[in-house]
Amino acid sequence: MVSYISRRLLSFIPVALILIIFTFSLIHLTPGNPAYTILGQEASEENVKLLEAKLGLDQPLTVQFFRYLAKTLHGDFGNSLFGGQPVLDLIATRIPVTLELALLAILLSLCIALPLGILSAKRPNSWIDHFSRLLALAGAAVPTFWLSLILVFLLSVTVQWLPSLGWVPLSEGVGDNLIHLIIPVFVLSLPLSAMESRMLRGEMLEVLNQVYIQVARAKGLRQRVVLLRHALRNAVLPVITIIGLQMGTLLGGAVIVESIFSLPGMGQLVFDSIVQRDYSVLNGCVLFMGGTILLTNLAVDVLYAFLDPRIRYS
Amino acid sequence: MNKRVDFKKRALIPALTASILVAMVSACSNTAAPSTSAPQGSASSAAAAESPSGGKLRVGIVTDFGTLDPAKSTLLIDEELYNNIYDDLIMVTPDGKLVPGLAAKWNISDDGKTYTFELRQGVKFHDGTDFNAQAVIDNWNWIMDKANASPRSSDLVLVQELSAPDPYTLVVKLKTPFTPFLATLSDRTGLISSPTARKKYGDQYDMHPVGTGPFEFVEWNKNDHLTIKKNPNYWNKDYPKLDEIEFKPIINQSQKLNALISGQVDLVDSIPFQDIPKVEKTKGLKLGSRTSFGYSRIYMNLTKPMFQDVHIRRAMNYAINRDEINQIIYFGKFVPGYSFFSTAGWANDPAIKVPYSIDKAKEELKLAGKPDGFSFTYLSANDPQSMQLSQLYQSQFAKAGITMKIEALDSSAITKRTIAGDFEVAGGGWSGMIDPDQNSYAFAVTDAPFNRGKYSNPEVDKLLQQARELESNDERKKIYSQVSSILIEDAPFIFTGYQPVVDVWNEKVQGFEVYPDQLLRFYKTTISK
Repeated sequence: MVSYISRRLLSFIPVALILIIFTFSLIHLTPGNPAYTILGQEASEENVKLLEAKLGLDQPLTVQFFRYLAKTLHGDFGNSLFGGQPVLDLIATRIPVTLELALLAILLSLCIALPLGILSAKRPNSWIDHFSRLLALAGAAVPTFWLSLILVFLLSVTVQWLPSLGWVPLSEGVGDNLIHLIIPVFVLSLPLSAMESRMLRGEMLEVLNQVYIQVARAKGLRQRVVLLRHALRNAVLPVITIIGLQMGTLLGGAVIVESIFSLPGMGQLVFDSIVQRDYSVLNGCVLFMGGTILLTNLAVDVLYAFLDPRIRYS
Repeated sequence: MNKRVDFKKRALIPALTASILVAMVSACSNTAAPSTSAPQGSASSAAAAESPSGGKLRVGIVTDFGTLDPAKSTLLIDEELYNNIYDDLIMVTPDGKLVPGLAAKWNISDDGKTYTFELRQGVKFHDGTDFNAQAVIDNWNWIMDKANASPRSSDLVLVQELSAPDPYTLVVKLKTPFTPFLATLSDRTGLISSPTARKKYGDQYDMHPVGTGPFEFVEWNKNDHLTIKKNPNYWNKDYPKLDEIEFKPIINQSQKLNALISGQVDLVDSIPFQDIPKVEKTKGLKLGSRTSFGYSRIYMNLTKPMFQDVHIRRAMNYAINRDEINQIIYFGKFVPGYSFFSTAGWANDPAIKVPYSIDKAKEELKLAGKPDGFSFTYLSANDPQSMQLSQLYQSQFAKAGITMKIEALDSSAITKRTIAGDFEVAGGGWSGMIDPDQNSYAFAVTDAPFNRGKYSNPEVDKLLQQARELESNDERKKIYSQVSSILIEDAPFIFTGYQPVVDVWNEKVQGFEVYPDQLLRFYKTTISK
């Protein structure tokens, strides 16, 4: 197992290299550069050239690339061109926000998806199955943007039950922190729960047809034990894979939700760095996101091995 | 059967847990309504009849700041902060007059080339350094040093010599007379940073800004908030009133009004125009608006053969329906205009007009040899408001038989394309400055820095040069009117009009005024509990 994990971790190195090359080329091929963004409406041929020289953007692309690579290998990820903060510091301030959003969204989605999935499988074509199918459809189809603004309108503007936006760090009050996250987390969890509940229902139905379930019933086990201890455990494995993938995506940031609710997370950081052409920040973010996806996928695979005794890694 | 019972039990427990959690969460947080911190310093309400002091003001802004160093800054949003932590050498009033700031008095020589400033004494930077003439000289030397690539160097390009005959007297010798110089000093170049801090932090200075202003910088969490606090040693003893100000970027503009109503912020620096009627209907909110110094326009690339024909350009100018733009995009708050010079400034001439006429447009098209119209591509910013405006232009041009295709890009790409001359027609606004020269010269003079369409008319060059050297505003105004007439004849630009500056705030906020330069000045603002 240990050697398996180390091999997976080592595989990040070639992946990281590919990511850097890819990102670097793409962003440099996009018209515009940070000098144009910084100078904005006051950009003129002359001052753009001066600024490009100062930022080292007039060097050939390969020179810029190797310079960046060299610095990164020494642990220097550079500074943001908009405000000067070190890239690592910037990412470090965004991680708690995105992490909390991702964890809470997955948690909430499971609270919705598990009961709905199990019950739909237990009573296929009953009212609860139809209801959960409807909810899944809504969750997958409803645009995030629209749902967020509707909820804000109902819960923050018409009545002032919840704040309309903002981020309060945990250090300033757990209650305050959570109440600001109720709407964003709910909006994020809906599409997740849609996928999870339908997948779970499908898996459960298949498992419930298996012979060993009949045996369990024949043994006289109660319905709850049959469903939870036997069926669910087997049905949940593919759902765990999905959750792993969802987690990876969420950790890359949820741009729409973050920008609507003014939550300073990774999504906004990446998006802004693209629009502003903040090269160092973008490269740092891409590496970070690649790393988290690799780690979450690894975690899911290892978890599999614990949950399913048939799976063993060498 | 066990089924029904199972279901109830199964559903009950999670439902119960969920409701307990929600109850716990709402109980241990403050109420969802305003999370203002308790105002301190209300013990100084011993100064009885005065407006309340102290408190924290939360301001919602349209986007996060770019840099906290005025010498590196070009974005308007930066300036919304600057006037609170820095002081200008020369300040402006809400109706656009120049008044003393850090420069208490000034004197211009008869030939217009030598400025002598008597600086305010007893002013200290937030880090304790003394403010004096040498501080100004150090700041300006930094800006003028080409190695620093400061975008503000163009403001000082006419400076020949700087000297400080005594600690609080600054003498500036210009190469040629330049009447707008004082106006330039009421902008970013006139904001003075502590030379000690600049030296100490070098290239990292923009993370530790130090000025002489009514508030001191505390911290900046990008995209989250920027906080400033009261400067207890401010040279104007009556100000500031607030203890603390927090700026929060609100990227989604429809959330700005929501944030005001739900109590997350106390003041916002702009709102989407369609939300203006909602403000007027909401109790407890106040709206202030003024026409800005800036303008909105469409400009053609005169290096392209199609747009070298003046009849084509005039046709386009006649085809634009400014009143319709006002109604549809700006909900009546726009001032239709036909020149560089906004009604907010002194150079505006109401006699300068362009009629809206599809017939005239078609006539011009005939003269251009294109009676059936022509087509071109318009480079537009890709944000929702710009796209809406572009689509409106498209429908207006179509009425004259002109087909406009829209190419939408983000701002960095647009800047690059327009500077390289790789475009046919583009548009946009200029946020506007107090002197008409700042709103016109660099855009219309041959090969001037912002003249991206490469318009060139020696007559216009001569007139604009004259206007920046004349002393009297009345004489300058006559020249600017002449220039505006020529520009209508030549039509290299289609001016659509002058945008309003709109600020909205909670009625608890007092002592706040809207300025036509869109900037926020909080030195006398107060907030009641």
